[in-house]
Amino acid sequence: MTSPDAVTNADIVAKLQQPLPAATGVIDRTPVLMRQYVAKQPYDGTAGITKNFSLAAFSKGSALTPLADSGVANLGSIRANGSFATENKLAEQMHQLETRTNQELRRVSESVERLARLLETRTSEQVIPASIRRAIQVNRATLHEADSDSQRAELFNLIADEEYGYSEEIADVALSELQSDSPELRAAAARALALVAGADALPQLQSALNAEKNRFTASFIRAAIRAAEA
Amino acid sequence: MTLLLRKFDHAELLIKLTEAELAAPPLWLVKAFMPEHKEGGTISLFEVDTADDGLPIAAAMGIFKPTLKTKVAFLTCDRSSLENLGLQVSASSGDTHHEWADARHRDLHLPTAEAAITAARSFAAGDPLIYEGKVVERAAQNSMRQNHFSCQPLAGREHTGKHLLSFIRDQVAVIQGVPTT
Repeated sequence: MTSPDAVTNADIVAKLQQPLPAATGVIDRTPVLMRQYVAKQPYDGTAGITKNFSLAAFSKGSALTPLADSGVANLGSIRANGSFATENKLAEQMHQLETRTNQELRRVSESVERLARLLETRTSEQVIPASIRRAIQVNRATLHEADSDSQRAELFNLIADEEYGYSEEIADVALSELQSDSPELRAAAARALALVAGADALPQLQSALNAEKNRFTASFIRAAIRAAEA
Repeated sequence: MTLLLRKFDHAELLIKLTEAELAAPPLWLVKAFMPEHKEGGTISLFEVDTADDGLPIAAAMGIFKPTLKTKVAFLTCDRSSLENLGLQVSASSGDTHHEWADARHRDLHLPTAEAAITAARSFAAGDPLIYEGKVVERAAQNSMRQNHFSCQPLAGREHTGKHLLSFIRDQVAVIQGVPTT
């Protein structure tokens, strides 16, 4: 028998279809909560989802990863059709997605955090430009994005645009990224390397240019060489 | 064989495109070759003998960016190949107030969308010329010292930014050997 104050499946679907707020970089626990709920609550085929669970799980409204978004949308559709068993399976899948996403985020966060620590350990007389600080904050806050090479390229481009100044640590990181599989990251690393290491980086930049196959990346490396020579 | 240069602010976006995508250029690339209505169906180019001649052009263009430390990038295309595709290039006076650059200003006539797409495809097939901000800044300073810039008209332009006036003042002081405040 349906409880008079029970939230119906239609209510759940309506809430799931609401646009999600901007991501905050925090992995939402909703998929795990759903899995726990699903494991404990038998489905009687007639009752709606209890108010407590639905509102607790879905009213958090915080970031779901893009990978989990589609899972939530699918869940709403499945719930509308009343398939509880499939809902259980989907919750399990969403948990797996969350695990994989967490692993990717850890890998990205380690790289960005390392670079951020390098930037923040500068001596007091070397001021970190405000835009670099903002970039560090933005990149820390958006660690849910899976495209880590683009994130690192963005940070290197920002370092190059701000003419951050000599830094052996940043040069070391940029030097390693000259071998990246990402042509975008190679270009950004070359820019940053030239502008933080100057003429010291010329041999490495020339080697990178000789090995470069992407003609646009090669143009950026040539520009980096010109900047290093200046 | 001369080279045509078209200023392009998003060269880093081209890295992500495949050759197939460049052959059918995305809309944001084609838009860079769409004439503004006020330009009368033409877009602005510069013509140089070789890629090595691009730096003074970058200096002339860089002086109008928000800061001289901003990189300047050009897409390039061989003039003869563009004309062989039926596109018309004509000489016209530039308004950078850089004597050498203005003499090399050209108009590319793009009367139709197809012409713009042809131009975008041709320039996307070339190797970009990119100059980092510090390189542009030094080139602009050298041009100023060599009197290639006409400072009076630059200072009198309606939309001349504060950075430009400050730069002109500083460079004039350098030339004249007086300290700036």
